[in-house]
This record gives sequence, C-alpha cells and structure tokens, in this order.
Amino acid sequence: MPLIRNRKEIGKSIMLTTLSDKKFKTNMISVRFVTKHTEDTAAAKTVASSVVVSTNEKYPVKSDFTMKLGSLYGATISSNRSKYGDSLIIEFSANGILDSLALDGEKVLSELTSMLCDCIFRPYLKNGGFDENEFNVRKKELLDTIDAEINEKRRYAMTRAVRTVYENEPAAIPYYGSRESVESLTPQKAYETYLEMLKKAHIEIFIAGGGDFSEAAEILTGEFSKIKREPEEIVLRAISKPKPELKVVTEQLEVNQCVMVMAFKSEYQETDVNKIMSAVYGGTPFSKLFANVREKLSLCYFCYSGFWEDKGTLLVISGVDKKNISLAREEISNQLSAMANGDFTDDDLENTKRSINGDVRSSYDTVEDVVSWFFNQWLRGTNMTVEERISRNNSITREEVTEAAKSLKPDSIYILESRGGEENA
Amino acid sequence: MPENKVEIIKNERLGESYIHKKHKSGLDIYVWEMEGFTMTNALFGTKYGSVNTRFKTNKDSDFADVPAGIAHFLEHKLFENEDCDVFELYAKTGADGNAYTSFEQTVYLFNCSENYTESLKILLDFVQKPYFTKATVDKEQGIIGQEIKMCEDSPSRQCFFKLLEGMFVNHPVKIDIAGTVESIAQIDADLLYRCYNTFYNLNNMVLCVAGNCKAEEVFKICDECLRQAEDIGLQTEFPSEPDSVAQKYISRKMQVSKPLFSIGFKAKPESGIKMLRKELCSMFLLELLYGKTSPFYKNLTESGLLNVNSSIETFNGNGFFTSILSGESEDPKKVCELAVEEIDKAKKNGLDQKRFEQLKKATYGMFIRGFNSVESCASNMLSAHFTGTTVFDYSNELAKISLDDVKSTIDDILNPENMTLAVIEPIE
Repeated sequence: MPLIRNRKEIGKSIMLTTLSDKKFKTNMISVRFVTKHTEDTAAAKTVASSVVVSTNEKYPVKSDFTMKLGSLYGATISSNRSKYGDSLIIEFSANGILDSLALDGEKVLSELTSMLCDCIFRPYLKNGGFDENEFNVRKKELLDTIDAEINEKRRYAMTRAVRTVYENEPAAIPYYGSRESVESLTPQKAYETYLEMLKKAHIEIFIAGGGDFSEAAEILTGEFSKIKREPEEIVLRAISKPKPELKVVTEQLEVNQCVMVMAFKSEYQETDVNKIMSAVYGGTPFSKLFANVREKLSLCYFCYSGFWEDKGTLLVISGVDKKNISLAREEISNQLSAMANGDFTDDDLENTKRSINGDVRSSYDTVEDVVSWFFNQWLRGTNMTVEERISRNNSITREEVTEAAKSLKPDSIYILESRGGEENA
Repeated sequence: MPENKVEIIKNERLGESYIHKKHKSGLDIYVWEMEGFTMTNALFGTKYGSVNTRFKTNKDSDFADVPAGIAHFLEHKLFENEDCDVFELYAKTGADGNAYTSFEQTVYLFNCSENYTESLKILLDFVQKPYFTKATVDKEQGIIGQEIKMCEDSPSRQCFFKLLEGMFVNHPVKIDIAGTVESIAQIDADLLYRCYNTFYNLNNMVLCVAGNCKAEEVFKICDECLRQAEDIGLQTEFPSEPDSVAQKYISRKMQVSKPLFSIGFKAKPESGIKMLRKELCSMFLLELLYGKTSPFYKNLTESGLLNVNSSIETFNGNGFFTSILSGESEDPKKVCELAVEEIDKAKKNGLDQKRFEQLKKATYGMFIRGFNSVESCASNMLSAHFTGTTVFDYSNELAKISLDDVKSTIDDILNPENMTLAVIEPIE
C-alpha cells in the first residue's frame, strides 16, 4: 500500500497536494496560510483563525456547529498557529472517518470539505465584522491562554527566552502579537486582516488519508480559485545573528525548580547536519547532555537541546536547582566545546543517526505526519522522500558535525529562578 | 484459555483483528499485525501500579502493606542493568525506549521502525533482570525526589491530586503515583526485590506488539527469552472505602493566573464489561450535562464564568469510579452550584435524545480513529487485557447502550452528596 502523491497549482500561489494511502481509516484536509509575521497583524490573524472554525453562516450557533460535526462521526474542524522563520502559519484542518465506515452511508469527506470551506469563505458576520458574541468568546479564550502561560513553567520559560533570543526580529513576537493588541482588537479589524490574509498569503492545501479525494479536491479547487489574489513575498528562513555580547536575563517566580534556556547561534547552513549535531549533543537519552549533565553529574532534572533550523539557533533547556545554576551552565558549555573538539565516539554518531532515521522512517505512519512531512519539505525548500532523507543522514561525517558545533556562538541565557532557596554555589 | 493456544479476536465491520496467545511461561501475548505501517510498538506491562500497596501471595499468611511509590521506583530502577544502561542497548537497535507507571500498571515500551525483533529481546530481557544495590537505590531517591518536586510545580496536576485527596478516605489512588518524599525515603533494595518478585511474575504480566510485526516471530522470541513462572496466587486488596467523600471542599494556593478547579463525583466501582458500560454512561452523562454542546457550557462560557477549555473526564479503575468536570473560573463555587442544578434539571426534564444519538456517532468515530495509529492499537490491547475485555467490546457496548440506560445511572454516577470541589487559588 504505497503512498500516492500529487501536487498542482490551483490558483496564484495556491498549491493542492493529495497524499493517498489506503492503510488509513480517516481523511484529513489541511489548509495552511503562510503569512508575514508582524506585531500589528498577529493578534487579528490569531483570533480570526479561532473564530472561523467555531461557527459559520450556515451554522451561526456554536452548539449547532459542534452537533453537526458530531453527527459526522465526531469529525473535527480546528485551527492552529505556528511560527517558522519570520513567518506566521495559520492552519485550518478537518478530520473525519472514511465514508466506507459511516454507519448510515454519509459522504463524510465531501460534507466535511464543504463545511470547512463554509468556515473559511463564509464566516458568520455582523456589522461588517465577525459576529461579536463568538468573537468575544474566542478573544477571551486567547487572553486566558496568555494569562495561563505562567502555569506551565517550562513552556513559559521558552516563550520568555525567545523574546531575548530574537530581540528586534519578527520571530520574537508571540504568535498572538501582544496581550494589549489582543485586548484592543475589534471584530471589524480582525475580519479586515483576515480578508487580507486570504488575498496575500501563500496557501498550501493538503488532502490526505485512505479515502477517495476526487469530490473534495473539486470542492476545494472551485472555492480557492475564486479568491482575488495578490500574494506577497514570504521569508521562510531567517537566520538570526548572535548578539555581540552574551545577554543574561533572570526572572523570579514562586517555583520549586529553576528553568534555564541557553541559546547559541550559527550561520552553518546544512540543516540535516545541524539536526544531527544537536541530537548527538542533547537530543537523545544517550546524548552528551543527558549522559553527563543529568546522569553522571546529576546537575539537572532534565536537560536537552533542539535545533531551530528556520532561525539557525540551538536552544538548551534545563531544569535546575537554584544552587546548581552556575555549575550546570558551565557544564552545558563544556559539553558543547567537547562537541566542537570532536570529543564524541563514532558509536555516538551512528546511534544518533539510527535514532533520527527511526523517526524519519515513521513519518508516513499517521495522516498528520504525512501532511507535516510534505509541508516541511516545502518550508525547507527541498523535495525529499523519507528514503532520500535517510540516505542524506547516513552520508553525514563526523567532520561536518564538528564543523557545525564549532560555528555555534553563545547568544543569550534566560533563567526562570525560584524566589528564595539556596543561592548559587 | 489453555496454554499455547492461539485465538484471533476480530471485528468484521472494521476488517480488523489481532491475535492472543497464553504462553506456556504464564504470559499473555497479544499481536496486531498492521499492514502498510513502518513502526512497531511493543508494550511489556505488569498489572502493578501506584495503588497496589497491599497484597499477599500463596507464601504469605496475611496481607502486607508497603510504602507508596514503589511501582514507580521499580520502573526507574529496571532501566539499569548490572553491566549497562538499557538506553545504550536500544541505541544500537534504533529503538526509542520508554516506560511509565500509572495508578494500575507499569509498562515498558519501545517504538521502532527497524530491527524490532532485536529490540524485543532487549525489552524482555531487562524487565526480567532486576538489579538494585544500596548505592543505586540511594541515588534514585534523589532523582525521584526531584521529580516529585517538579510535579508540584504543575497546577493542573496539583488540582487533580487535591481532588483525589478530597474524594478518597482510604483508597491509595489519592496518593501521587511517585509517592511522597517521606514514603520513598522508606524504600530499600529488599523492599524493591520483594515487590518485584511479587508483581513481575509473568502470570501478572502482558506483552502487546502492534504495527510492522509478525505474530510467529514474536512468539518465537518469547519462547527463547521467557522463563517459566510459577503462579504464586497473587492477591491485591484495598482498604475499605466509604461511598461518601473525605472532604467536600479542598484547596491550595499556587502561582496561577486564575483559579483552577475540578468537581469530582464519586460512584460505586465496577469491573470488566460492567465497568466498560458504566464508563460509557458516565461519559454520556458528562457530555450531555457539561460537554461542549450542552446549554450549561454555552451559558457559562458566554457569561465568562467558565473558561472555554474546560474538560470532562471519567477516571476509574480497581476500587474507584469518578466523573470529573475541570476548568478555570473566577468563581469555582458558583460553577459547582450550577453544575448541581444541572443534575436536578436532568432528573426532572430528562436527557436530550437528539444529542445522545449525535454523541454516540461521535464516540464511534473516535473509536475508529484509534485504528489509525500503531501506538493506540498496542495500548488498547493492553488496557483491554487488564480490564478483562477485548478491544472491540467497546464498540459492541456502545451500539447497545440506550438513553434510558444512561438515565438510570444518574443517581449513582452524579450524586451531589458524594461530590468534592478542589480549587487551586492564585497567590494574592
């Protein structure tokens, strides 16, 4: 049961990709708007994206909308926001079971596709903007989410760290802009920005799963070819430059454990090498950070790294007792120097490649992962299959990995510190 | 079922099936061969979770109590062999290994997309080979102490455990899975060996493998790697638990933006198919009364009293059955009051047939989605085994259930007399 892939342009800068694999018992439609990320449009795009998947002209009452999805066997329509480089990606998606598994012969995929298009193109409007009731509920939901960021300490620390790491770059702006911009947003302004997005964004559409896509593809093509388009230029990769001097930011909160985020930046461009370098350093349970900083020296409760290819940044996230902060910081840096000096075994490298290749190989095992795989190919400007990526990974040499580690420069450190407790040793 | 006999458990409509074998060693083995998938997921689990702190075997004259947190402690320790670390072994086969301890199970697992037979040998081997010394136990006490502290920083987790503390008088489900700093201080190597030898007996365990695998290969490896286990007549029991809750209101202060709350209703526990049916009834009641299509949800979210991310959950197991509504609100007591009013209304006016039918379809759809993923097929086999059901019983029971069935359980499942409100309040 191989994956069958098709891709075509159905409008100005609008691509439709179909990914068919009969092993799946569901279908998914994903529509991704890739847009310029700016302080004054982010809040509007974010709130609008949650309003349009809550109701539409046909189902203006939220509970009726949800009931309709329920009767389509618990199908879902949802939206999601993410950042890549200096862009903001707004995704609308729908998920449902195969028509062949519907108990009463419903055409689940076609109905769901039409419903998603109703959301995107015919939202429930009043007075030249989104309906105020639903708009206010979604706005409050977002404000609550922003206020609740502090509840999950690791995520909170990451959000705060990113503001310092990408100071004065669009990537520093949260996906929602700022609390103030969300608060001052009106239903009219949000709708206006949303229409701009339909006109200007680059649009990637996917239909994936185990069903027959012909009707759904026809519906989507018909709807999307009708939009008036003026696509703008999108910057996908926006490598961030290291700061001339290391910046350290400390924030105090009532917590038991401190969270430390260390950022290093690199202009080394080989994405696959950077990923492997980061994984040898701190991306697996046998990595240098895990084996040394956590296990051997017991300096951190958790300690791992990740490489942000879109910004050329390596982030190291650790959970530390207050008294161990300086020691942990020193040891994390020592381990990175060791990487740059080639102080890792061939086994470390081979095992890491095996682990990464394992993840890569499973990229066609869920409908969502198949879509992500091919969307990421577009983001990275590549067109690799799983097999091609594995063979690229296998060709990476220790010299390349060392070179990638050498090119990293310290940028900043963010510490979420517990109030009181023992001071640095 | 007789030893070594193979049975096929199937569902015609879905065209899905999996294989069960009672291995001669005492172990139950389940294999789900999934064509077209590249991943293999294997779970090796024991029916031993944080709640199993009182037990006896054929060799004991009476039940013995042990400190909380041993199941989780054992899980941490088994990853260390005498000569090496399990992760180093998996690193060579490319598997991604992990483990978790829940209230009722401890499970060791791996995911991989190549060499699954080699990884399976590693899994079966290390779980059967415990190795603890005073030094390694002492070190682990520090690590787990840190883990307990980290969990204390999570308000949603704290809210859940406060709720359990408020609902249960004696049942050990009220204690965090990792135990407490005090209880783990009492753990030593002897205690670990004793619990290991009791609960890691193959007669108390299960192996589930799903995805890119062949049943014959799995059975062959089991023949090679499993040692015959003597049935030791393991029995577990729980302290007697009243129907009523320990505390009607319970709270603590933390650094949160807005109060977090959980409202829990305590009901009589069940087992097997009866528990499955009761779970479905609880899920339907919670959805009909408080779910996203309910008038309650609409009114409270629109008035701003309830955050839109509120959630409902049935949390049940051996000796406990609870139905929970959680969320964020400036006034949790008011939400609680309105939630109780909703129960009275449902009893007086009945439940919404149309919404029930729609919820039934939605639940069927959710069930179907489970077959899309290797991991969920493996974990569904494991939970079905531990509850004495099959993966497909769920959809069979779902098809049978009527709105009258659901309505008849309301006095037991949502009894305001047996209700606790737990709140995490912001620090002023």
